[in-house]
Amino acid sequence: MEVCEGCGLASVTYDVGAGVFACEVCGLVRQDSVLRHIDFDDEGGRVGTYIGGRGTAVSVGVSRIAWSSLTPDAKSASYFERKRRRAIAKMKELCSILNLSKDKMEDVRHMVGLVTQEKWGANHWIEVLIGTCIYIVARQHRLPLSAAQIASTVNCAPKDVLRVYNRVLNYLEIESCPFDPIVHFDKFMSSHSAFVCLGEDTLNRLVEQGHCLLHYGLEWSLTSGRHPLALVAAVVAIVGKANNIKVDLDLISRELYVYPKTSRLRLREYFVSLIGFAQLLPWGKDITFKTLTRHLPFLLQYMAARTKVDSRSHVKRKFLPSDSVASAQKQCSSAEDTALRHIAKALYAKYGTRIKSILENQSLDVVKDEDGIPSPEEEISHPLKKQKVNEEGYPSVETCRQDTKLKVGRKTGKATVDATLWKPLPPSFVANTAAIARRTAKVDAAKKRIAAVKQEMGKYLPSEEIQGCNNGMALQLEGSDFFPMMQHLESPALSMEARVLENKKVCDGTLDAEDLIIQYCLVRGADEEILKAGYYSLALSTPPVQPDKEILSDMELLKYFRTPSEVEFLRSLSEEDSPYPWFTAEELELQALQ
Amino acid sequence: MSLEGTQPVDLARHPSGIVPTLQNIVSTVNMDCRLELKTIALHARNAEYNPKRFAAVIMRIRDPKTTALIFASGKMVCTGAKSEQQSKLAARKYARIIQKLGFPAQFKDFKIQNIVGSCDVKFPIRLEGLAYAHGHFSSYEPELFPGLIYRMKQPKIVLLIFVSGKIVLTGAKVRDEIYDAFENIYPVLTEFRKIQQ
Repeated sequence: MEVCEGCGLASVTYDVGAGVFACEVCGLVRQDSVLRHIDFDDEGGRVGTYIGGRGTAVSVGVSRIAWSSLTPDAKSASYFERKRRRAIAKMKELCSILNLSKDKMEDVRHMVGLVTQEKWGANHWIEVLIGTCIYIVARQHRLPLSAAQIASTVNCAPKDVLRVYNRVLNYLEIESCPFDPIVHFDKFMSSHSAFVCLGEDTLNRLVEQGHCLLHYGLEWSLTSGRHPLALVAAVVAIVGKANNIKVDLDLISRELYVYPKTSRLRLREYFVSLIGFAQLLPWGKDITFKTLTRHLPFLLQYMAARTKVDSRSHVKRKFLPSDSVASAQKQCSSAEDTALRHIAKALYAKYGTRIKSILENQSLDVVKDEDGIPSPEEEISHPLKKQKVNEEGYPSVETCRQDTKLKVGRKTGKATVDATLWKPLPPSFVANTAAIARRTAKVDAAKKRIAAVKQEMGKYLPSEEIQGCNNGMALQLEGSDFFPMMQHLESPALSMEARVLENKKVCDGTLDAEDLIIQYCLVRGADEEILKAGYYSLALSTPPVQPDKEILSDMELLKYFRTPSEVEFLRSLSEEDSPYPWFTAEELELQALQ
Repeated sequence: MSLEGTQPVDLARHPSGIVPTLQNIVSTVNMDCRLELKTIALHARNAEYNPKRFAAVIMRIRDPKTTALIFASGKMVCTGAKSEQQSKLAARKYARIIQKLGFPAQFKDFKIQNIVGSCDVKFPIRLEGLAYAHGHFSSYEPELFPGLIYRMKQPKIVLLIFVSGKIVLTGAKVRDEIYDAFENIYPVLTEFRKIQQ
């Protein structure tokens, strides 16, 4: 440990949450981080910058005169030494910018040394490697450093850091440590301007709520395959909203190096999940997008309390002997239920007036008859037990409603509707399923339309011709709904995108471009499954190859070649030869006209 | 031409009942002659050539809808075909175009280099669980990529597994490798199926 300037004790440590060096004894925060960048040019001369206030910069190296008198071998040895020194200086600089403590910096140094076999190196790649090693150390020690933040410091793309990350892990045969969003959340909460002014208790409560939301995010499948920092940004926004603290999601996203749009999407997904969760609670049936903000504080408090109970019961289960697991689980679940009832009571006492009106409007007849469970006060002692409960009967009604549900469930052996059991499917899967359903409907509709046209066509054709009639021909009948669409789709000069745009113009309000493409593919005999999966380009690809067909006739070849005038024109342009021009046929025609 | 829709699945070959769809075939061929890329770019309407950016002519044809990279050494890479036959046909067409431009192009060593397939298992997958249980084969970094990268040893195929149940298989030289890889992974995926409670 470093010696503190305030008290003189060796007690200066790195505070992960705040990202500063502070004394553990007197609390003095070290302000003067000296940033040094001393470099040497090829001739041994000193270049570079020195930024910093207090402190001493010591340059290590040889003077220009001494350098010129060295032998070639010595120069070569010095070259590698200088390269190494330069890379180490860069590493120290990066570690200093990213507030890495000395021991972590040593880890990084050791790791880079192993990867480069102590040869280190020059140029940008060594910086990316150093950045990657910093990232690995940060993940190993659960430091709040993201790949994007490191990449921004190193001045490279985050994907570069992450690509090298996998390679370094494979090379050093290190297991990848899981990314912990909680560390990043804690760091953000302790350093963001909107939260630093809060009292310790309030901040702790907010952090607890955030942890709880992140935990539920995992249960609600919001985290799988998602950028974890976008989730952190969304959670910060929710916590801020619930506690009337003004936070700008875009600003948070930028501070966390994530796209604001992604964070907004995650926020929306969180809201949808929160509403789904809340609506399964006896008092949350009326919670919607509009009313969520109003209910958010209560909901978060309930969730935080529930998480506490869950974690406690998990700990209990962990230390139980294996032979009594079944009975213990029963006890645990009943204890958990009663504890939750306590929580619900206490929270109801606090927010009862809001919920009262909702409960008054619901029938509670069954509830009273079923209530046979002993009073929760008799069974367990809970910190919330001592809180004042509304005497008007509403809390007991509330708990009764829960008891009834639990009891009915136990009696009938059927699963009860409980918010804890609410584990929705991942949003991406739901979206995919919805998209498939939408496309299936479109395919069915297209089939019906095609059948209708075939039927209509049958009226005008002699019966023997109907069998031999090609669907494609039928659909090109002038006056049919498909005629304009077919004209555009079959035009060889149009690209896929152009066709879609053209179709948008052609078709009326009832059919969209996707409908028309599906129709066209169906007429061409495309596989329905492919269309339902949305692989339109695959469905539009050519039918199976006919081996006996000529590869490319001379007539077909013609369309691939330029006319002599076009070639001449291009040649005249390319005489200067820099830059080599490329023009499309349309551009050439335009230029020729001018 | 029928509007009946889907083809029946051969359950003996595809016990899972799902047949991965081939999305892209990459093939190479050697035309065994030096090529003047500038001449090709000047005369062919469907060609792009910018030596400062890339040292090959990029040529496209519409049927089969493919793209070829034609190098001065006479080697060619053909991408974008949806089947092996289409890829070969496209490569032949490119060679024909080059021939017509006056080069003595041949059609040597045609080889499929990569086949990409995809499918949908139609259930969500717990990527975290899969990454943990199959740590030696998989890499899951949501900060970098939303999918789990599964490197199967036999057949040597890389699978991209997404939480939505969509699977991308790549790295095959023959289509059977894609099918085998999917049949191998399917039971694993069912094990890590996310169930709605």
